[in-house]
Amino acid sequence: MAGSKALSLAYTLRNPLARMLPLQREQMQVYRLGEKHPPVGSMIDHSPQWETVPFVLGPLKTSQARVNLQRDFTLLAILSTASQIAAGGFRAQFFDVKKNLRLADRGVQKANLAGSMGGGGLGGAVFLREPYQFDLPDSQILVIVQNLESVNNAIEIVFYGQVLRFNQPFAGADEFPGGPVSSWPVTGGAGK
Amino acid sequence: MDPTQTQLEDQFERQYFSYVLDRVVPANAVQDPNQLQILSDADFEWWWILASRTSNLLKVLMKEAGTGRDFIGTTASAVAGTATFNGMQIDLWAGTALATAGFPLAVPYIMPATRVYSLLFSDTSGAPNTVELVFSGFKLWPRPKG
Repeated sequence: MAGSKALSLAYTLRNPLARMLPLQREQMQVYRLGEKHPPVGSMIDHSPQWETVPFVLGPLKTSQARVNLQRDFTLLAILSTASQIAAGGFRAQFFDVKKNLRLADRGVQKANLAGSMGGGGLGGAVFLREPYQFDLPDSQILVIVQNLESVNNAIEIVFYGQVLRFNQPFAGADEFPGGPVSSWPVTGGAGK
Repeated sequence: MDPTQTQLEDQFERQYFSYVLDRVVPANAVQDPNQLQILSDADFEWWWILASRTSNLLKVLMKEAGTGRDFIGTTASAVAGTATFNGMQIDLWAGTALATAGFPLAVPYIMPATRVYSLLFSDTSGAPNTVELVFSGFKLWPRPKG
């Protein structure tokens, strides 16, 4: 688009610990390894969360799942596995329901979506170059999965990210979907 | 000193440290409970998770006793064909250092001193599953003032 600057991140959430990705083993290099100092910025006071979406799909079947996210879920990496991969395993497409956004043009095959960490091969998590934040109250990920195999397929997709600690106090702030409680970071903390 | 360094100064010295959990998970165990307690001398800044296992037919859940927090969860409202949620597959969580498959936390997590973490394993391999989890990171030692 005219006027766009490819490297401008002025309106993009940034992981203060991330650095440029190399072409290989990006999942191993995404951080400043051995960083001496703790994180600052938007993800302080958050904690890690692995949001798991398991499916067991019959031959060539399609299913969907809605994932109710904890507050301020910030997606950092995706992992996936399938028990059958002869015909590509599965296709998966993700949506940010609250923002009415597609996160892929169409379903992505397992091999191009993400892998798993264990199993003897290189680590296969795919880290986002910059995080994606589900920052609206009651955010959901809609996951649509299509089994590409002609047999039953046990599929598991994991969204790794940061969530605001549910017990993090923010005095005087409001809680969604309404009503005052202590933990919604409107008035500070969490880099808001 | 670099001004960025000054800005990030937090008055802690970081000492490389690993907490290790070894367990032979019984065959077909369901949410076999194991506890890991952070030592009382210092908080722990968790950066990496590494895991080895006999069989990958193993699921894991992690909970923080002090807060009740589930680190591994599911809230999918329509999950096709699966039974009770027993966690994520261990190979998705982490692999071995040998395979350069340790999982790096994008943002490290502070585990307070003396806090207890529960690791719950569910095996479907039908045989005893020898597991080792390594939480690698830093002990946080307060720096003396002045």
